[in-house]
Amino acid sequence: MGDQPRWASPMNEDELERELLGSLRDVSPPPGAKGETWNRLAVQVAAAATIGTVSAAVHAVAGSGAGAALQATKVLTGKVVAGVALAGSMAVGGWWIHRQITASPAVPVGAPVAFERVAPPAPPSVPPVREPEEIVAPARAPIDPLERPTKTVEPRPRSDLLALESRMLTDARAQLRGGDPRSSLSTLERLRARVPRGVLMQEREVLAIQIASALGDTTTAKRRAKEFVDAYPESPHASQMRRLATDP
Amino acid sequence: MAPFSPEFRAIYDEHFEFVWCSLRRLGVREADTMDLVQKVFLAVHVGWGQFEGRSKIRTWLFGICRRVASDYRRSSPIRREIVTDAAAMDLRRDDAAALGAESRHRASIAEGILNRMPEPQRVVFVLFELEEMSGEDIAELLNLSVGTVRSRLRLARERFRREVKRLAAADPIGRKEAV
Repeated sequence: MGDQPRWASPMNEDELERELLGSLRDVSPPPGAKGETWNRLAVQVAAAATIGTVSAAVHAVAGSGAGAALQATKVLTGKVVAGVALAGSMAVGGWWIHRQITASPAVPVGAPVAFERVAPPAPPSVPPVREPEEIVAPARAPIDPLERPTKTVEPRPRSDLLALESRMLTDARAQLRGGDPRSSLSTLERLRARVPRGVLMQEREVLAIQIASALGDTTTAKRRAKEFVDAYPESPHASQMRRLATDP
Repeated sequence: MAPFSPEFRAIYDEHFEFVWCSLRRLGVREADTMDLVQKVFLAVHVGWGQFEGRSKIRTWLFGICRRVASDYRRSSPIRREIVTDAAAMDLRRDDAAALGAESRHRASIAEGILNRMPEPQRVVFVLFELEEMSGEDIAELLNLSVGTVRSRLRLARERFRREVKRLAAADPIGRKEAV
């Protein structure tokens, strides 16, 4: 897969695709952004220390992992904002914060510290987002809303079908990985019966080829792998299938 | 709160650009990126004690970026539909003069297409096409199987190509100009 040419590369013959992707390549930070962000971070942390929010934040993060850390930052940010507002004046606190920052060798002192930035907009109180699940299917049906401009809500059955297809494929993959190609094949057959022309037909075919190979039927595996490459030469699966087809 | 440790400073220095670019490519507008980078590193600072080193630091950072970006996108869905501020971003650059309105227009179109992708597909597409990561690395980063990465990439590519074709059909002159 890693050997596939990227669409932004000259290998892609579609110039518009290449140009569009190329235009997104450079998103690097503007000059000065690194120092400014560091200063703001330092101010926020120092302000949190000033108003004694440390224990709450650390306690909140004690859960574990990045999600908990994010929750803690929300608590922290909220309390900083509230604390600063309650203080009414930044004069004394600001002086103390400034001392804290300039005293720290880790903080660049060249850039001025902007105290009006102490209170960034409070983050929305949205619950943490779940990690995407192991399924391939998007949460919505794959029908592009722009293709049907009159429909804003996509039909649910289609989405359910895709979720089913994705779940069964995941199961079949797991069975194959677990050394049980026959069960994997059986799951795949059930999938074929239930969703004959699904969105994930390519994935189903790739898995069927892998199963054939695992069962020792290399002739079938090679033939179908070649047919796959002929049918979908640009598929992300193509390089793997090409290897399988040409493997001695 | 404890002052910043040299270790934290080193992480910040080494990964600032990675975090910035990741957030931008996950759909965060240029104007909002600094706030969110700050949020990511605050999370790193607070949660550093919980990082057990079982994954690579970049994997951990990218996980935080994804959550922050998702939060951002969910909290203000309207932002996804607004034409991006690629123009404003470009104008800050030294070579701003060299960038014409057409190229900024292209960037905003491309971001619009990405913004309409389901997030799981978008992440894989961005990591593969723009970050040029291998499928294996993406699988490790996202804790997915390589097969799932391939599937998401395929669906994302199909969607991208479909949108580009539609754009070209709707505006054949625009396509010619873009070439």
